[in-house]
Amino acid sequence: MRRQQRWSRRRLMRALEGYLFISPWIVGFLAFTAGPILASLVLSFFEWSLIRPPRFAGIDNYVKIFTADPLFWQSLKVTLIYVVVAIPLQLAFALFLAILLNQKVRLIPLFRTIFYLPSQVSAVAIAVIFLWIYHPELGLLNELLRYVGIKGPAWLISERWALPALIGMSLWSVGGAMIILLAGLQDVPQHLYEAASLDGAGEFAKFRFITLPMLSPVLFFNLVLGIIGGFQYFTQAYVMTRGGPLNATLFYALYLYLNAFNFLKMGYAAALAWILFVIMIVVTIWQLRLARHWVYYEYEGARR
Amino acid sequence: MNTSKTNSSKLVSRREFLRNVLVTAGAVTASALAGCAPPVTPITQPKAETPTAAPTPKEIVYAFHDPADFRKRAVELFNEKYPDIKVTLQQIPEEFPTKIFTMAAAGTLPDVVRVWEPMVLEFGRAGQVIDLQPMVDAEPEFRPEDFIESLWKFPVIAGKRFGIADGWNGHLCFYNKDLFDQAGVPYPDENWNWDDYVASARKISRPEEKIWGSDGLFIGWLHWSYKLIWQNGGQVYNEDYTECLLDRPEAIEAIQYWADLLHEAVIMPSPAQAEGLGDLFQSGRAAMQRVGTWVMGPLAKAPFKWDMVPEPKRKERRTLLHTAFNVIPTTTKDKETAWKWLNWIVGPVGMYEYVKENATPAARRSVNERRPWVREGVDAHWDYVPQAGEYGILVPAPPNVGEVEKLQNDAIQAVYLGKMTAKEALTEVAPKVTEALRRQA
Repeated sequence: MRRQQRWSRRRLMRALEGYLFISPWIVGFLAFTAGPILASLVLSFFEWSLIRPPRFAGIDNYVKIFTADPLFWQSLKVTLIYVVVAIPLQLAFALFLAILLNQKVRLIPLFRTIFYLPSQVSAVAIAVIFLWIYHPELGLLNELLRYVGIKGPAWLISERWALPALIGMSLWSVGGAMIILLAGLQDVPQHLYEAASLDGAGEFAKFRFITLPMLSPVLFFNLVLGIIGGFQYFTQAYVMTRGGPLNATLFYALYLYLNAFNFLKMGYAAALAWILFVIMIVVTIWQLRLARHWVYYEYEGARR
Repeated sequence: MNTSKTNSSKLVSRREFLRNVLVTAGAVTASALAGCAPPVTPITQPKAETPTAAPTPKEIVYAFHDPADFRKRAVELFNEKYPDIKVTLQQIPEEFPTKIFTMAAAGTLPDVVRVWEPMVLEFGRAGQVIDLQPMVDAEPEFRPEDFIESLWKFPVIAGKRFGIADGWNGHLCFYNKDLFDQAGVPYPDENWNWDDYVASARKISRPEEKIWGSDGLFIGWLHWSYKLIWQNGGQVYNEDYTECLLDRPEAIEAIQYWADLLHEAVIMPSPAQAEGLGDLFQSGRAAMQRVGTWVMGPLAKAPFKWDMVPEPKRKERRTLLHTAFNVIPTTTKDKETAWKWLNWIVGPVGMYEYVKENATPAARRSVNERRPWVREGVDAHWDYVPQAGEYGILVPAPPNVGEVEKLQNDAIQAVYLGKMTAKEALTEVAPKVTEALRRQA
């Protein structure tokens, strides 16, 4: 299609009409999304404790965060560990379940439902259930470990084990990713497998050279969303550990919340939010760059 | 915005229509965005002596954190005296401080609020609540000398009184008489000290049977550890909250003394052992528990015999007190009516209604003559309950309270969890707390 050099009046009118029709959304977006986002950017250059007038602070908040706040680094560390360890684990586990649920077994719809269910339970409810599973004395997990002769740790009240416990718990709700991967698996054309079989490929080779490349766009999609979600991890830590013991599970979003509503440092919390935003944008762009090397789109073959 | 046309007989052209709509949308958006800007709360002290005539019927909203049901009767009694004032009760059970601070930011605080200890001074320092002293002075029947001194003095900065307390709770040591009897250990008396406490607990403890002489330490509850420091003659802050004194020997010794007992895990369980066993004292697993008198409610039904005694001391008899203060925000329109309600709930009749329902002592001594905290049918040293008000210290209310308490909590927990010694943790944290105290909020 040739691009128009200049817009005629008529086309302009048409465009305006279009905007007019979506104006309820535009107004809502500007007032309730874009507006507050901008307001928070402005706020990050102020000191505001909710109960006193805001005071302009220039870049003080940002300087303090990077130079005089050990808990900022601690919360960043906790969050990065979670993103680097838990997200790939979740992806691998979701893929594993998707492959299992892609087998031709009786009652497979039932199994699919059962494995998907936990991701539909509210995060708070899961957190409360896992508080009991991880219980040092009465918990199911340590009970199972006792059967095989291992003395389980105190999990959520142990500085070393609290974060691994939360990472393990996150595998419980991979149902969403699992369903998407399952759909991806069912999209892989059967003739590719047949052709590979004729060439004498084994099961592993088929998985490595057909399934993974064909699934890579779906994996990539889940990875990007997972990483963004990982940076925003809050609910479970808030309910189960409140960032303890000794800040071992002080996730970034939780520390942000503490600054806003426990320390009443609204400007500081807004600055923390913007730093997180920048980190997430940078990581996502980096992911998109990396994707060129491992994500395979079918139509690309045609273009090369 | 002008939309009228000179020749109005014609229909508005499409262009006109579009332009007008876009202008309107722009205006709506701009005003909505303006609404997102942080509101600046006006800070003006009202003139208490010239109340403006309020519109009738008068209505006020009273906000608080604890249960609301029994307060309905208080409102009925109040209405017998003031039939023309409608009081709406607003209970905020969850995230109480957060919600109150957010309301303050929006300028929509209820007419009278019952706030916690740190909040009353934070609000006072920020000019969010009015000075009640002129109103107190104008009431001939108020009698400030009726109040327990520490509760009366607390919410005052530079002669300005920002709130008035109603009921309170103090910490005592509760003990399980059956466990003492089984071990043949004499009951404690009010002159005992820490070493007596530990010696009794050692005789009672049978850790292998999950029976301990003492309940564990409340490691996540910072204020609980304050009383240990006070009992050792130490202080957390100086008088005007400009310095943190946790690095003084009295504070360091106190925290280390109890941390050592926790690590030894003989007279009390380690945190991991205690996890999930629930309340060790209520379940009969711990012979002694040092905690607020609110536990007497559940204890009234306990399957064992129990009693109470002042907490053991090291150098001084001290304990922790909790209360709440009724305040009138500067944004309250009808302050005269708000004061009528506040004056009634902290007056002899309203205060008795409150403490009788909660079974706690009152801030007024005259109300305590009716012994509202006594549970019928329980034989115990009930007089120790109000006495705590005479030697106890209220939860402190420093500036930047959230931040300074997080710093201290992390440091003291590090000692209890065996990561650092009290000397290391407290000498490291005290200057940081001092810095946060002095930072202009």
